[in-house]
Amino acid sequence: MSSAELQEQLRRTLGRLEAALSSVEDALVLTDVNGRVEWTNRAFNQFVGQPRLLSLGRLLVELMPPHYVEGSPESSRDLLEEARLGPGSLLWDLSPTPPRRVVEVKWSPVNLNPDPSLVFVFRDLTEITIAQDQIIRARDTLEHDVAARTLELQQARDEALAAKGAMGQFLSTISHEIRTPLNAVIGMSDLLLDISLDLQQQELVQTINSSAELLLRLINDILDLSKIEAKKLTIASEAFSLRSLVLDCCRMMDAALRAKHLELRCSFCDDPPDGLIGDGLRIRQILLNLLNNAIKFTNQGSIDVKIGWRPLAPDSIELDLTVDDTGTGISEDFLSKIFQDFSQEHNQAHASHQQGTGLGLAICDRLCHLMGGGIEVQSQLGQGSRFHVRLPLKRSAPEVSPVSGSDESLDLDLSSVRLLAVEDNRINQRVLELLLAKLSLKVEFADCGEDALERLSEGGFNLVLMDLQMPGIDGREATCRLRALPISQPYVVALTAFALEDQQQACLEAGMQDFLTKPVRVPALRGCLQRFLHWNAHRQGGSVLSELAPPSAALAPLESSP
Amino acid sequence: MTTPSVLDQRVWEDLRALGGSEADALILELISMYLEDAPIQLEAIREAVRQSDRRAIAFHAHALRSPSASLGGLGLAEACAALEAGVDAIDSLSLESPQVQKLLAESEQVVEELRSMIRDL
Repeated sequence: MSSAELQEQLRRTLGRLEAALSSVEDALVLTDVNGRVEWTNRAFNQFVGQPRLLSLGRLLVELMPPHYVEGSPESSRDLLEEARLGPGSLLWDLSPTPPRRVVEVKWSPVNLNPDPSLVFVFRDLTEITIAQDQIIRARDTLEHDVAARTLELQQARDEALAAKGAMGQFLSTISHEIRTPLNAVIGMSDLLLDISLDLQQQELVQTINSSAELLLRLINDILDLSKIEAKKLTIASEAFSLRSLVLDCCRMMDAALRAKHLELRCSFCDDPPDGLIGDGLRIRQILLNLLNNAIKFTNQGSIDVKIGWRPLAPDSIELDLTVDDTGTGISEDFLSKIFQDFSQEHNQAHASHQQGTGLGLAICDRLCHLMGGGIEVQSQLGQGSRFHVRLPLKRSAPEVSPVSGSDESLDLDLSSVRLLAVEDNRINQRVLELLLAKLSLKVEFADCGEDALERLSEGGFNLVLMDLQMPGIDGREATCRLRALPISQPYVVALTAFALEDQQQACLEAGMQDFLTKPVRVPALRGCLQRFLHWNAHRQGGSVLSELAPPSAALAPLESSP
Repeated sequence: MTTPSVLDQRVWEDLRALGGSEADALILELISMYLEDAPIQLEAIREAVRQSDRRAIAFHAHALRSPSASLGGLGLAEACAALEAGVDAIDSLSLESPQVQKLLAESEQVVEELRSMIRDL
């Protein structure tokens, strides 16, 4: 290729480059090392506001429009210094006041021989910068708004809490005040019901009486709840017998169960420790509440109470208490707020004849939390409900360690026990005799139900181990008859070959208080004796419940055995 | 012993613990009582089956159940309970009925093992 051709090709290439760079939006300028303009593109000519011919050969700094960095004017001389050192960039404001006009300046040395050059690129960032500014402003405003709103909410919350406290105080005071006259209303209407009234009068008085009862229940619940909310309710830490507690609660449901032809089954899984430390009264309150609800919302079928447990530490356990029913179930909507105050499902077909305060489950929930546990519910409309309570509790007696586990170390005072065992088989008699002798207990035997009743009618026995199935009068029948005898009633333990839930229920109904499964083993027997001693101590001291329980209908003292 | 025990060993541990130094005498006493009583009940069950006297079957099965459980014969006790509870549902009652067979087979094993226990004392 000739040199003329080469020159021609070079000229055309340069022409194309020139055209290409002219169409670029960024302003481009090439200078020598002293900042004298050597070449510009079209965008640069527009940027400085004069044609290329007037710019060529002049100092770049003289062409630059006034510009500001963070509000203060800047000279372009430093730009040249920087550009000689290497590539870089910065932002210029072309106007000291809003609206902003922003340019990004980029530069780089171009090392061409023999004379190195500098290239500068100016790009208009006005739109992007304004958008960014708006975002930043919006964020700042938002932060400010949120802070202000938070403050308002905090003030509102403080006011609400103060109002709630005052409300609780008010409710508590007024409830106490209402209770006295209300008790009079209930008492007087009770008396009236005993007087011979005509049918209409009786109905009227009955309505007064039951309405007053409901009102009293409501007031007691409100008192409980406001005590909890005011954190004035303290959780007691006392020894109690788990079995007695659960079985007592189940027995209190008898009348209600009979009235609705429902079955209540109660079972203890994995032989839970019986001697526990905690607030027995409050646990009783929770269980009674759950049982009352289960019965209230179940029209046919059964209610299952299951007591399970797991060890947490050597001296503490988690108690698992489940109440299952085959009742109407709970709608999904209501399920989420079932533990809130005054929550009662109103859209139920039978709601008209349901009576309750709507506070029971709220109280259960608060009590469970106060005791360090919790309550959960699972239910579906028409599928029954399951309430599950978990409570951490201490054992009243630490597990007897194997080292000190000899039976002699048993610290039960059995001197007060007078024991009759009703057992028709001589081998079982002998084994029982030996077992009891191991605990230094003497036992008398009856061979059959008739024999047992004859001996028991003379009085003096306070503990009876009763075989369930005997020829003639069986254990249940014997217990029923025993309960009708005008004697100081003993504690009756059913001896059963197989622990069946149905059987346990039948035993409870017959008036038995406890169960031992044959073959009887020492730990089970010891547990049973502990429960007996607990029962006996409370009987001698009068009913613990009637002394300690607040005068709440849900915690009414146990009826004496029929 | 080559055959696996049909007796619940926990029950026997308890019984031995109860007997203490007199354990052997106690075991002898209990097993002797059982070996006297159980064959009487077993024969009564067989006779009641032959007579198809279902009430008597339930009665004797029950009477055999709890002493068997007390001496660790839990399998036999279960068989007794099953027969006692299910006797009314058995269609053609005979000594070959599975529930009866089960009870008799279990009882044979229990009696055999108790006999060998006495021999080993």
